Amino acid sequence: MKKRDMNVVISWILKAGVIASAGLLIIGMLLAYSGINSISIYDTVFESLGVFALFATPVARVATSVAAFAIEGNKIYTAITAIVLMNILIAIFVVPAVLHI
Amino acid sequence: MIAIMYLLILLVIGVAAGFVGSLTGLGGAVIIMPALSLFLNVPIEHATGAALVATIATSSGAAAAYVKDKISNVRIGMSLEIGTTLGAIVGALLAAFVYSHNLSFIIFILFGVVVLFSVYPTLKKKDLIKRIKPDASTRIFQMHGSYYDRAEKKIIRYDGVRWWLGEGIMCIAGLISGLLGVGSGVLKVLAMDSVMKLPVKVSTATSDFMIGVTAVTGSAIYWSLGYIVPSLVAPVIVGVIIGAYFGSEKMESVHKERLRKIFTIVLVVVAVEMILRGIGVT
Repeated sequence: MKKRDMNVVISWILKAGVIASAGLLIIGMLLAYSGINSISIYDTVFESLGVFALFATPVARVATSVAAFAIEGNKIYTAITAIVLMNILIAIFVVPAVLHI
Repeated sequence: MIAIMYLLILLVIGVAAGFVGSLTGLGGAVIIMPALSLFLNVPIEHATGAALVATIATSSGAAAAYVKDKISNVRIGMSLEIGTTLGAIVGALLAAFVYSHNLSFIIFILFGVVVLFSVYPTLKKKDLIKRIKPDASTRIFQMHGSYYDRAEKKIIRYDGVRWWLGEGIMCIAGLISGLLGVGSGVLKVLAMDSVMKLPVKVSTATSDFMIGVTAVTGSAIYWSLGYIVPSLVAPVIVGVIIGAYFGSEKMESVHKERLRKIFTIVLVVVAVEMILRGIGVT
């Protein structure tokens, strides 16, 4: 995969992620201040989803890099970016599990 | 305080942070942390949580907005991320220890010190093109690269060196990020620029995407510890995204310089305030 193609893909993913995040967060804020109790309770759900969407943007960037380096046949950097991805996933799944034992 | 007003204030803080963050490369955290903990009396764990998440927003928001990404060196950035992510995990766990043992004053003092340390390099001047010989790590980690410099109107080639030392500094940068909720962008740029001999523009652009990856690692742990409060961070993030968009694209260079100088003074004042709060004066 050419460097330029990878940059375009990553740029698109980041844009999508940031817009999705902002959208979800705004919906959450509107719900919180809507004054209609039956839908107000969903504010935290949307806000949390918005935060997760934001978290996803750098993760997606790293994951895309792993794929791009793999396609390119760059073994060392496929491994390196895979390690970075693994570290992030450890922070997301393993560390919290250990902390809450 | 009336709820809507509170929300608007958080939004404005976010916009300011995103704007300053993409302008100075310092990341929005240095604005958000003090604004929330000193002025809005938000508990410091929540303030650092908001600051760290805002750092992701600054990084991804600015990257989505502009073209600088082409100048960043993905290989060098990613390989250095091994260190920053590991450091961030350790830093976040240290933060958990500090907060649960009522040692928050450490965070205030360290934060102030780190900010003071950070403004110094932004005052530094020109980037002289350094011709340094590639070393073994250049070849192993494929640290060659090139970019088109619009100011010089030519393609500049470069080689990075001393990967091992750079990686070590990145571990520290990650630790600071996880512990204090900042992006550590300045330390990253310093390492890439001075130690690894990369051109300043490459270092800055690479750091801009790196801080997001580092911040998400710490944020994941912060989230599980409850340091990230959705209703608090929501307006801040939206503000940062807006601010980062305008800061990255829309400013004339002349105005940028003057703004940078003003922000430097503001940051020094803020840093001193944080240290004073930490040692119990304010």
